[in-house]
Amino acid sequence: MDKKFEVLVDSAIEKFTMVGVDVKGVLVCDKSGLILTSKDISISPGPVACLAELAATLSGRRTTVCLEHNENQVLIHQTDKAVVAVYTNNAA
Amino acid sequence: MLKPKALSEVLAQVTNGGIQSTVLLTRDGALLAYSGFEAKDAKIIAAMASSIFAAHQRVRQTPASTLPQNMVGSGDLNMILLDAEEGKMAIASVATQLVCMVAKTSVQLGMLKAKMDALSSYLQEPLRQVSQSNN
Repeated sequence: MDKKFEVLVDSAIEKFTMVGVDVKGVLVCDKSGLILTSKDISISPGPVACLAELAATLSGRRTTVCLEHNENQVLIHQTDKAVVAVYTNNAA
Repeated sequence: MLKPKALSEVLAQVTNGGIQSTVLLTRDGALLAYSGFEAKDAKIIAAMASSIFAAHQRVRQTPASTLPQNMVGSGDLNMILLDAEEGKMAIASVATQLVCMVAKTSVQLGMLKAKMDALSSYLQEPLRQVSQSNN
């Protein structure tokens, strides 16, 4: 099952790449902040889950959080059972 | 009544992808069913898991550590997650029994918890019916 999960993550990265998004890494965790899987990312999942929960509380519904700076951005999205964070490089 | 062979097959379905062993045990530490390790090791795991779970429940129930109902950590103990140097372990309460999973260090805690939640949900009703029929 874990291999299938990783294959899913890989195919999602491929789709991002196909539309010109340079994905640095992906992190998937549950709502408690426990990591389910990660690819090329070594960041603690706790703040990711916390941010997603805060965003949902502030907006009243599931929201995609975007953190952006000069070189990179992070997209955090909460689904029914998990939180997904995608780390990308900004286009030149 | 429980079908031992079917029970072992259910436990075997989650014993993969880094999960080395899954054990169903009573609160007293008696082995009910297992998958992965051999019977001798499964008995040791059952005894240890029961002891660990009982120890944590005892701490939560002492008068000095009584928590108000609306505080985090109050209520029944549902699951213990252990992250050790050479592996991970999850012990969950299911009806009147316990389920224990032993995993390699490569298994992420979130995945271990997700598998334990799925197994617990699946076994909750059948084990509840068995415990009711025994009473």
